[in-house]
Amino acid sequence: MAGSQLKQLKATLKSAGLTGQTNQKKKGKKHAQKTPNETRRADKEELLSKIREQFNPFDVKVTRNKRADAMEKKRTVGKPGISKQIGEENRRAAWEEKMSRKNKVGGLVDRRFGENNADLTAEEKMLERFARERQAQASKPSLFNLDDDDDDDGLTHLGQSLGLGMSSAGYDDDGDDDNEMDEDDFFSKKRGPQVDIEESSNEPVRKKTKAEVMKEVIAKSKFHKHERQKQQEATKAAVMELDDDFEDVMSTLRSTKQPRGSGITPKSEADIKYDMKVKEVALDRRAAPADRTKTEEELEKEKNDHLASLEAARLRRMEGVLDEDRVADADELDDDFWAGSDNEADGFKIRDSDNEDEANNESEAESESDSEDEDKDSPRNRAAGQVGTITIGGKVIKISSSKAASSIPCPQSLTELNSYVSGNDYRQQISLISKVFQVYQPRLAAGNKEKIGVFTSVLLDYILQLADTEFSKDEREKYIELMEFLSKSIRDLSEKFQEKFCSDFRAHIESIQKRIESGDSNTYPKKSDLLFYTVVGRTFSTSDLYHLVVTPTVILMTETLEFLKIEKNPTHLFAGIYISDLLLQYQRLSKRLIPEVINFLERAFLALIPEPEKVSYESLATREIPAKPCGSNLKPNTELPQELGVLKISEWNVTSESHRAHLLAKLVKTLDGYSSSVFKEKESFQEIALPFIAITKHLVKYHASTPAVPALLSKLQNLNKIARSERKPLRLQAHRAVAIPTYVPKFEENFNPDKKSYDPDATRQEIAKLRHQIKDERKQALREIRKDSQFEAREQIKKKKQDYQDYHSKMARILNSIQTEEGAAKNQYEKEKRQRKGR
Amino acid sequence: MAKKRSAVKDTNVKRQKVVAVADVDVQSSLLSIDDIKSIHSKINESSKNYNNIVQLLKQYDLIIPIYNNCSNDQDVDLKSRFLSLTLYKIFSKLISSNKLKVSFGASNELKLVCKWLKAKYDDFKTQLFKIINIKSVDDENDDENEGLYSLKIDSLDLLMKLLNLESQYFSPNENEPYFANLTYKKILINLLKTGELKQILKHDATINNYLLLEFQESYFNKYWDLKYFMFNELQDIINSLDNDTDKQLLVSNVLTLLKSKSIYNITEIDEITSNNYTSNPPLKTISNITQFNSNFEKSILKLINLPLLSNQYKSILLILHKRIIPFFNNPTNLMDFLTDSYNIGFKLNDISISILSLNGLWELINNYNLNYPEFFIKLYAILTPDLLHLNYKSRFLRLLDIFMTSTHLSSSIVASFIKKFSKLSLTAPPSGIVCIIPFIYNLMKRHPTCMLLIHSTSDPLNDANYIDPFNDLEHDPSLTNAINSSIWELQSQIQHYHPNVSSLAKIITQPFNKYNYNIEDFLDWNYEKLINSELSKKYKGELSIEFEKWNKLLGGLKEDDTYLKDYDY
Repeated sequence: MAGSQLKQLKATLKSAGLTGQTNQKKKGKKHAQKTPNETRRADKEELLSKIREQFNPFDVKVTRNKRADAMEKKRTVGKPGISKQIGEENRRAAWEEKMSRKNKVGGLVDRRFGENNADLTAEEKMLERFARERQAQASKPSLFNLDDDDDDDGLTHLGQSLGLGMSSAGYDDDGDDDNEMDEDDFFSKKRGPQVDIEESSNEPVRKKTKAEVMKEVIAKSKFHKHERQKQQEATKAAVMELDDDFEDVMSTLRSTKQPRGSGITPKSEADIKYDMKVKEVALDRRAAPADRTKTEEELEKEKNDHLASLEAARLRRMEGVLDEDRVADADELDDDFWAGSDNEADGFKIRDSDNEDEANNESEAESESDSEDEDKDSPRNRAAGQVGTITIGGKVIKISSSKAASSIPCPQSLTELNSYVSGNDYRQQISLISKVFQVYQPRLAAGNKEKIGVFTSVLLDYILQLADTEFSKDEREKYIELMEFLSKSIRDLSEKFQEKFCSDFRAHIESIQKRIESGDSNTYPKKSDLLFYTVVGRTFSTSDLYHLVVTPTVILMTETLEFLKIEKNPTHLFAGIYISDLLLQYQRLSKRLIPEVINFLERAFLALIPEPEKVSYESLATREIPAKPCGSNLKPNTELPQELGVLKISEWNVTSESHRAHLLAKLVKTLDGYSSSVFKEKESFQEIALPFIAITKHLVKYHASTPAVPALLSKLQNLNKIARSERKPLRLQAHRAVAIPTYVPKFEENFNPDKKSYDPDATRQEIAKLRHQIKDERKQALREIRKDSQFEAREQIKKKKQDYQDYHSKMARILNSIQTEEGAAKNQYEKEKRQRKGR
Repeated sequence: MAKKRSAVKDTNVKRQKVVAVADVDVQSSLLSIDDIKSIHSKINESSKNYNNIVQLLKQYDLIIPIYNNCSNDQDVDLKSRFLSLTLYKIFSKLISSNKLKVSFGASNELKLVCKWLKAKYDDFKTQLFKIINIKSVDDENDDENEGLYSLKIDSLDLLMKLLNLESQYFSPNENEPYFANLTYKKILINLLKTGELKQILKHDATINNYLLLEFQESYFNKYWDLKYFMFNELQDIINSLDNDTDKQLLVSNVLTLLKSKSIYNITEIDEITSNNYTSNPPLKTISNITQFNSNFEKSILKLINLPLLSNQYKSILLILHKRIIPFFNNPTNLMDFLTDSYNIGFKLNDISISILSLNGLWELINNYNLNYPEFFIKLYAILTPDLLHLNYKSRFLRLLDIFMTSTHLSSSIVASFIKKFSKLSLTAPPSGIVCIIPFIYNLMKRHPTCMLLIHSTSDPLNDANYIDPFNDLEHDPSLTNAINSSIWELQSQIQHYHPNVSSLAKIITQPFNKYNYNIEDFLDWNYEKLINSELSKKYKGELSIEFEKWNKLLGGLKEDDTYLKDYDY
């Protein structure tokens, strides 16, 4: 469309048929038929608004909503300009209203009917007002309605209310008055209005002046004061009267005789006994069936169950699974040691008879605390030593006296122990040490437990010290007894003093480690070290995957195996064989692989077998060249012992041929043990066994007569055959393919675009909705307020400008008028002057 | 010289008991300090008194036997030290006044005096050398020998000062640069054979010789001209020795000099001559690095051909690649030595020598294009049962890691190494196993074909007839057929007794997700560290106790109820 805006408008209007010739015949009948006046006007309006919009596109604003657009919803259309204008108008109206009332306080609001209604004529208004008045009078409650206590104050006289007023003035002190008042009140309600009517009919109600009110108040308070004084005097008089009568009353009371002391008589013996009995009976436990004596089988089963649970815990530890419920176990086992000392002979099997008696007495002394008499008579008791008594609450408790305790010290260091047991032979030492345990039982005195804890670690030191000391043949029996006793005590007490033991054992481990590091073959290994390892194995659970004491000990032992110089040193050879045997015992359940042992066994064999250079060296694992014979190798013709006896640690440095033959036989046995337990289940059995098969084959040539050797060979070969047949290439990486995580999109059934939330919780949804509303409202309100204040500011500025303009125009006007006047006067003056001049 | 000393030594023993009597006489005949002072002032006064120098020099003939007899007397120490100092003062004055130099056109008499003085001066030096060479009889008592020590160190200091004076005043023409290398050579000859065999430290063959350490600290490390002329003369010095002990001492002494610091800083060649001992050294000569290098090279080659002690041998190999090869003009000259040592290792069944020489060889291969045939076969040969027990294993593994870096290596070679290592792990200590597992992991990451060793792709149906194809006796890693085998040995290590090793071994069963392991973290473990790390763990509430209760600890062969049956107390 070409042309200016105006031309365009004109053209549009014309084409719409709004301007120009209105009754053109061109459109003919259709148009004519369809034109009743009303519709045509409506059409016209619509057409006009459309054209307006078309020519003013900025009046309309469409909100673009992505989601709504996508769903082809109708767009929301707003007319910001127009709505703004409306808002402006409203504000202006409010503003003008406000300004018109500015600086005006109070005033009358004419609330009469139809005052502001322009539709009614004055006459109609008057009529309507009259009708309303009549209606109001008719609906008003009757004056004679008894229940009605309306705004009227009831009876009054001289401005003072009657009846009700009296009650509020308050004769509250007297109960009688109160009742009266109630009655009064009752009547007043009924009678009141009548009187009122009469009074009001007689004389008009006069409003009281202030002075009168004050007078009334003062009079009232004086009256009350007087009343109170009267009351007080009356009470005083009554009290005086009572005081006077008191003596008389008392004298009569005294004269009558009363029965005495029936309640407070001391109870007789029988009664006390009776009371005691009652109390006892009350406190007695209800009779309950005793636990049934368990049958042999049941006991057996219980024991087995306990063992099974322990075994299960052990298995878990072996697998390295940590379990929390272990703590209970130690407590379970706790009492065994001390229980043994109670039940005589059970705890310490090996015990001197003398000592046993003493121990008996002492334990009796503790257990039989009640039967005092018996004990006093007993001569044994006296022999056993002084027994002190303590009385607590009627109960007599006997303890071994401090004197007895002090005679038997609890050695807290190795030197103390040495001095304690010195001079006694090994058997007596047992009794001495067990006496210490007797005297220092933890339940006998506080601090005993700690003392015994230290004592046991001293015992550990002591047993290791003993291990290194030589003993004569006569003493052998006693020595063994002592050693067994000590190791058993350590084993039993280890449960009780775990933390202490842990640090003790670790201290030993550390000292051994230091000796190994020094590399001196004289200071390591010692017999005590071997014994230490054995005690550790016996005391602690060696199958654990991880153990605070066992793990470092095992490392220490394997380090020893690496460290030993078996070719040169016979004690080293013995120690090595001993340790590998001990390690086999350690691993009897967990069956873990110890490479150092494999290494050592092979070295030990090569150091012992006759003519080691003839072993086919290709199959050896420790060397790639033929082994050289060393001093310790057996001679080819030496016979191995047919039956394996025990090897004595005390004879570990013997170098005789027969001793070495014994060692070799022992070695064969150890290897046998290893191959049937530890090596057997290993995947690499073939590789492990290969050198040993070669060595055993070699050995069979010399010692075929000893049954153990060919047996070992055939065993190894059989196992090897099985291992070979079972060998498969490794397939360790057959991991299950890990799925790529997929995130399935969540579909909402019954999706509704208008629905804002799909929260299943109705109340929560409601709350959210309200919260949203509040937020919206708040926003809107704020916006309104902001707009209002902006409007006001604008108006104020406008007003100021207006004032300014007014003022200036006014001044200009005034000035103007003055100037005109001046001008006129001047003109006149000039005129005058000219006239005079002209004269 | 050596003969004489041994003679002296012989008499030592004999005399020792007589000394007590003899000592008194000798000491009484020694000049007192005041006497020496007066003689000194006399000599200073007039040249007529020069004869008194002889008197002073003769004192040494008295003093030296005293020390040989191992007496220690603080008085003698003081006197002799003062004597040396006085003589030094006298001669230094003479030298600085040019009295020892035969000046051109001087009278015959003067020449005679000059020659005589020079002879006395040489005599003085000889006496000082003698002092240096006194063998202290017992080295155990350091306190008692303190006097002798300080005397020796004094003598060395004086000699070095004289060297400086000589270089300054003895130059053939005035102000011409000069270094008194003849004197220096004599000093070196005497110095480098000091010390005793038992002072040689076992682990690195350096010597604990205080004279040498003093020399190193105060002179050798500081001054370039001393270094230069030392290697200039070293060949001659080595040639001049004919005694095995002396040679070994010399090797250890030189090793000590070389080991602590590199001989010069290659990056700062220009500033090398900035620090000289003598005041006017022949700068042109000593700044010639090529010449120095060739001297150094020749001396070292000569040195390593001496009959070495085994720890000296190892020590040389140890410092070879850092302290020696960089200063060679032609490092390939060392090739023969290195290859020989590599092979000697196998011959002597001492793998550590081979491992050590490998370091030098690698230096040559890497930087000097040495072509080493059958390198991997030789490497493979190092994988002997001893390897994982040695301390040098970490050194070897570091190198092997470098050698195996190439991804183009044949997988059969890599597989052979892996298989061999895993076989060795069966007899290895935990420290060794801990090294090789991450190493194998890295190899497998680098050569994914070797995953066949832990995951065979063969048909499981054929497993029944499976025979391990690995040939353990084959020396050539490319022919062992290890790639078709599996590493069951490493799988067995999952059941290793040490929990950490066992969990480490489990990585071969787990997905290979880690990029690789840092081998350095695993190389330097040993038993001590293992135990210490165990002991550092804290007690947390529960020690599991053996619940099986044996009646006896040891020696109940017949009873069942014994912890360790076959032994008794």
